[in-house]
Amino acid sequence: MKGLQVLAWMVSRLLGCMRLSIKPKKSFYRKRLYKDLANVGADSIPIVSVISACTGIILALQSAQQLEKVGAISYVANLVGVTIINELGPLLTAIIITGRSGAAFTAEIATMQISEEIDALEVMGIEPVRFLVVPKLIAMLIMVPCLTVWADFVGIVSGGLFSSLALGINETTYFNNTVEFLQLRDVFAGLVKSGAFAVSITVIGCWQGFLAREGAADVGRKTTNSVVISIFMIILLDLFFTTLNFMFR
Amino acid sequence: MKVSRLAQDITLKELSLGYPGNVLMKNLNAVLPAGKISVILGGSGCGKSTLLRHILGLNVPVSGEIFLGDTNLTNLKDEEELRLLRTRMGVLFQDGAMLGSLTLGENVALPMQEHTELPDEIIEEVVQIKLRMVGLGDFTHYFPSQLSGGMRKRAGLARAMVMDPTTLLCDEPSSGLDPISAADLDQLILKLKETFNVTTIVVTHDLDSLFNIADHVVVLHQGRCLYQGDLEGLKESNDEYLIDFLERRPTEIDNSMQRSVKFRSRD
Ligand SMILES: Nc1ncnc2c1ncn2[C@@H]1O[C@H](COP(=O)(O)OP(=O)(O)O)[C@@H](O)[C@H]1O
Ligand SMILES: [Mg+2]
Repeated sequence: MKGLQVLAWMVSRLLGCMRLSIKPKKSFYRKRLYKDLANVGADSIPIVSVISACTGIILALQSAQQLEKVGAISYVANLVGVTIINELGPLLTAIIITGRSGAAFTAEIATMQISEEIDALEVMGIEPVRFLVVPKLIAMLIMVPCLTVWADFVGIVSGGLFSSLALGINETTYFNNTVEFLQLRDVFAGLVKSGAFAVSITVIGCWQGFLAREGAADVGRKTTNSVVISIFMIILLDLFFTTLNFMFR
Repeated sequence: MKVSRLAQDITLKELSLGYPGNVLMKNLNAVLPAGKISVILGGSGCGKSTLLRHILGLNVPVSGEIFLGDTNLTNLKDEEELRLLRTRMGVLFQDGAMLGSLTLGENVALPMQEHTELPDEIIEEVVQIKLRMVGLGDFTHYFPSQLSGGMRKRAGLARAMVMDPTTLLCDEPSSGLDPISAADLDQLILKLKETFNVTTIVVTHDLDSLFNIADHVVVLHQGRCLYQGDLEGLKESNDEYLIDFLERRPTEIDNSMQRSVKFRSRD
């Protein structure tokens, strides 16, 4: 019950902030945004790159194994491309960001909550949601789609390199196939999906943070909750968007 | 509706407060006089912090009202008025509550950046003045985690005073400090009152601090007000519990409170 109350409070304040943020922003809000942009975006590039490179290779291997049986190994490119752009790029990026940033949001806000820093903001007349959540939300909305595009790119390129080196598929064929097969619509659908993931990770992470109450142990508990709930929501959203995409083919 | 720039009385009227299923105080009546230091004395867990949260509008009372001058703080509808009122109130939280991600300077600057349109250079100077006032002029670029507990609380005072409030609320300023730092902080609170004529409310269970700074005393015990008046009256009171409390004698009534008074005021 308490949880829903806090969620409603946070979302209503967030909506309130949207009206406000049209006005010129104060410099310290901008500074917080830059910090969050760096935290969410730049700092995630290495891990996102490594994971999507591995995924590209795994996909190439898996699909080669199956396609070889029907003598259609040149279709590896299509399978890798479609799977990454439609599904694994957005999904894996979102899951990495949940672990990195979602958990960090919860821990940060929970710590502030139990050390009365949130109350201090409130009594200073500084809206805690605007000060803490809004910059994170903007940073996530910008960075998660960007990281997704990057993950798509790395995954496809590494799948291609691996295919040409280990599976003997001509790399020009691979990339030609990919380009031919790729539809802008798929890339766009992936971006919409990753935007939705970004909102969900931020809202859940911050919400769990504000819920922290009784002492330091609660910070850990709420961080765990935040990650579990976020991953669950990501999968649900993914299901929803994929169904939608399928229906409006 | 205007929000006064003068120090004003704070009046508690038939105030009952608590959390769901846990009423901490019942029908409390008290006047905390303008421009004076009122010390609210009570044992650990009796609801002192909760009372402060009610005065700040962070919690809503079960029943009763709180007035700042003539303004009823308990049914403020207007967001803008609440915001304005809060710039007129400074708060020192129990552990300072400085934002860990910002330096002291940035912490103290925050309320001014939010509420004024002053250029950064001027804000910087005001911040420097406020930090010097609490003896932390050389620590502008330190993070709260790099400071001692006493310094963090003094920084908290600087932040509380940065908007030149008319009311200053302090939650157990001396708790967790060594006797010298605690006495320093008491002196600082006295000096702030004398210089800026702020209505100061100090919540504490520390008797040394009580006798150092109090103009007015409210003693809370088991959810009601046991004594209200000046220090002389408190010393002459012949309420048994009060006498025991002042002599720090363990009593049957509330051993746990006595323990906390004895140890906390000495640590
Ligand atoms: N958020 C809360 N929800 C429910 N009960 C609380 C909450 N905060 C404090 N309490 C309870 O209220 C009582 C008084 O707390 P508090 O005002 O912090 O006491 P004090 O500051 O006098 O030590 C304590 O028994 C505590 O358990
Ligand atoms: Mg307390």
